[in-house]
Amino acid sequence: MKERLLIVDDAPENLDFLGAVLQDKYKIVAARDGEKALQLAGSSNPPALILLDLMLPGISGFEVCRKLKDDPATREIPVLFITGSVDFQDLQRGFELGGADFIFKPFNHLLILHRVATHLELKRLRAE
Amino acid sequence: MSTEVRSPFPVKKLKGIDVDKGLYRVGGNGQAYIRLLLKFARNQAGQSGEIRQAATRGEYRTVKKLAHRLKGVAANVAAERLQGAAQRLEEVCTADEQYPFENLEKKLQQVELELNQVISSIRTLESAAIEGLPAPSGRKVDPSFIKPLLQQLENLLEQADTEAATVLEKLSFCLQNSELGEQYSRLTVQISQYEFEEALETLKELRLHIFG
Repeated sequence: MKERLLIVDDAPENLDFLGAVLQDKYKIVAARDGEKALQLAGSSNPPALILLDLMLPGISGFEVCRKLKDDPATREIPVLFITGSVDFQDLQRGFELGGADFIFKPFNHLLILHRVATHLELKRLRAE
Repeated sequence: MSTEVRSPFPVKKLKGIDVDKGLYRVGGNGQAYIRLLLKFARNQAGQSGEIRQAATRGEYRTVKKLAHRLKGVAANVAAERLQGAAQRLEEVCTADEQYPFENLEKKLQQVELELNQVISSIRTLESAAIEGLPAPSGRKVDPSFIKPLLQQLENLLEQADTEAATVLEKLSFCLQNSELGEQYSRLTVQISQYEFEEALETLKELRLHIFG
């Protein structure tokens, strides 16, 4: 059975692209804002991994990550931030909040596939 | 990881788009690339108008934000000249708080030109795709056929599962040209925009029409 990924981005075009790259290997669930992302992550069928845009309307990506990591039910879900710029303060804050990695725009499909596979593998190893 | 072409793409060249690069970016999946391009044309058709309106109102931060977004979207589909034009427009809004209108106008015209070119190219692709499809049946909606698909669609929408778009495609021949065409179109737009909660509401409306 395919593992389930949650992609959170307010731009449908980015959801389209990431979905196109990942849908052959994974089941894709999508949200355009942080509230919906938290709701889906906390559901009875949570995602194995979350791709989370930093710039979201309402609750920011950082805040979504903080809430996920504060909740024992969602703490173990790896969060990969999506960002358009290499801002070292953002990178540092993202890792301090418990983010696992960053994916940069413009997207590279191979890097996305490798990073997602790596973090799912790390999660499996941690759970053993 | 392999980048070989795994599903066919109907044309070798599209003006304003680097097809080889675009296919590479989605791992050689021709069908996925076609879907991306068609959605690009549908969603970005009004984009230059929106940018121009913001510029006319003097809302340069909005111009910059929209140009930045267009740059990213153009990069996703390998529309490189458009990507460059959007980047130059973004930069002209970054350089200074005083925006010489002539300079902005030139950059904006370039974006309009390139965007129109890309959308025209994609429309030729769309025509080719439509020619390959069977003609719409025009049959009345058969509730026994449609019921399990609608149930499946509802389950997927409740979980924000993007496979909803695939199930909706299966429903297209029953619904697209039927008396429920308006609801079907609305559902298509909502699902393509990932507005799953709104799509659930439209689906309820659709079910009410069919099953009472």
